[in-house]
Amino acid sequence: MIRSGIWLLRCLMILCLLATPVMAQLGGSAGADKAATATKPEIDLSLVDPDEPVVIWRDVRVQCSVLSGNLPQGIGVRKVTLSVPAVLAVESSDGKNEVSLISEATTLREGDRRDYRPVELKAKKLKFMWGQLWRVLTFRPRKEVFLATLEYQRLSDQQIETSTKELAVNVKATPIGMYTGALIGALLSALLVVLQPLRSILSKKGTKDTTPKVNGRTIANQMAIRFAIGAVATLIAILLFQTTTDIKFPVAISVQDFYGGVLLGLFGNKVMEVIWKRVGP
Amino acid sequence: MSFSGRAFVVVVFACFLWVPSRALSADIQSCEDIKRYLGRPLPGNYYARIQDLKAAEEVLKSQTNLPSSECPIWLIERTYWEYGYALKEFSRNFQDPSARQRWLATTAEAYKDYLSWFESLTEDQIDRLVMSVTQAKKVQNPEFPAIRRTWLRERVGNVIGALGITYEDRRQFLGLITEYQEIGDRNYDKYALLFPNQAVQNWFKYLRAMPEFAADKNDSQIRMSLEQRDVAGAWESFRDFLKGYIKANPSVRGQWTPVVTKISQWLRT
Repeated sequence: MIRSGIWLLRCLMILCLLATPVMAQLGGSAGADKAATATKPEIDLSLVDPDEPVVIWRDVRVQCSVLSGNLPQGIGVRKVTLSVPAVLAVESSDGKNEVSLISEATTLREGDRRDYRPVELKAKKLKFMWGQLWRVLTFRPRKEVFLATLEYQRLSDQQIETSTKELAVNVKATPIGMYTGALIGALLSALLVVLQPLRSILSKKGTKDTTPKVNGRTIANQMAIRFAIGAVATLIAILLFQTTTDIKFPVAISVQDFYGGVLLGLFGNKVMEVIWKRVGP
Repeated sequence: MSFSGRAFVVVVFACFLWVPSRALSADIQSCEDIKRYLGRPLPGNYYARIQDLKAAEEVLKSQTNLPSSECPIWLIERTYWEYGYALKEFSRNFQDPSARQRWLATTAEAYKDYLSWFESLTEDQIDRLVMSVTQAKKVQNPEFPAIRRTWLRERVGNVIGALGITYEDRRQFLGLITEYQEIGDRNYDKYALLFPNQAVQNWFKYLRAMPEFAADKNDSQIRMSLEQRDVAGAWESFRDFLKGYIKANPSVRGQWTPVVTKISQWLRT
């Protein structure tokens, strides 16, 4: 009887020893949970349509929300501002790069979430763009950052704090910039094609035929036609680029920006041939 | 419709568009902004109101040394008063005692700012203030002194009473006594007329419970507590204040004269 009692005690002790780390772990995880739930107010920032590409000098919509966290007594929201990268050439309705999202301060209780109306950023008007037009047209795709700042007051102790949130977006170049590059490429291409025969004509100086002609046309005509072909062909190509297309162009354009446009313009004649094969009679 | 008629319609329409767009923003940076802000219904959200009025108060404080851009006196008074009132109302929202205490402390500071601004006014400025808010003329108006007294008792007296309540709510009874004592000592002549009788009664009530503030003491207990120098000093200040108060408010003579006599007896012994 005594022996079985001792065995029972031993078993209980072993059980206790085994259970201690498990209990400690459980207690620890409960503590960790508590620590994890102590959240500060946060600001959330996103594009209204994340699938829509962000293009320089084109309208964009941004959505902002404030989460009050679980600070006791809640928070007083003093300011919510959105800083828009100036390089995007967009502005809010009041023409500023820094948009205030609230018209008056407000309070949020513990655990509240407030969604603000989307910020509609409009492309700047052309008349306000002269200073930065060249920079916009030659923009190379890169990341830009929207920054939202929340200034809040902890209502329990009146301390004022701030919280920020960045939204990095891949900004694409404007198709107008690409087309500008294409026009320059087409012009260069036209010059190059015309300058080559002109060189041989100049070498025959003193002969009877003094009017420079290429294939029976004057140089000016040849150049204008070449440029016109390039301009139209690249315009069609750039419009096709805006949607998914399976047309294989003679030159692969990996980056659709001003410099990609120049490349396309240089091969304007070939681009025309490809397009003509696909869409021609 | 003639051209001038159409132009009139366009101007009226533009005004309608302009007014709400201004009303959305409370960006206060000048006296004109404050005037516009106070000229329309104040935000129902007291927190928003506090932030706006705080901004307005900062504008007023920054312009104190700029006589060229002086704000009208009624605008300053209203701003200080509304700020204290909004804080008082907002502090009622809090169930948590520590948060409530902090907001009440801010309210007390706002009321103190109001009183220190009021103390800085000359008699002539007070006259101008009363004339602008009551629309009463001072010249050849035998009723003006009564109008002035009534308005000041209601308005400034209300602030004095509310300041005491912020201390009571925080259970800082010694703070209430000290604050009233300082107000009385600072500008005895001005305040003797303005102290509400309820505030004087509260002052007396908490003096009787000094220094433990556990319960009202009887006369012999009070006499014993007077052995402490700070307690005796507090009673002495109260008695001196009462003397002026009775003189300025004859209607309460019957209530306070026996108290003055009794305090004098306690202090002699």
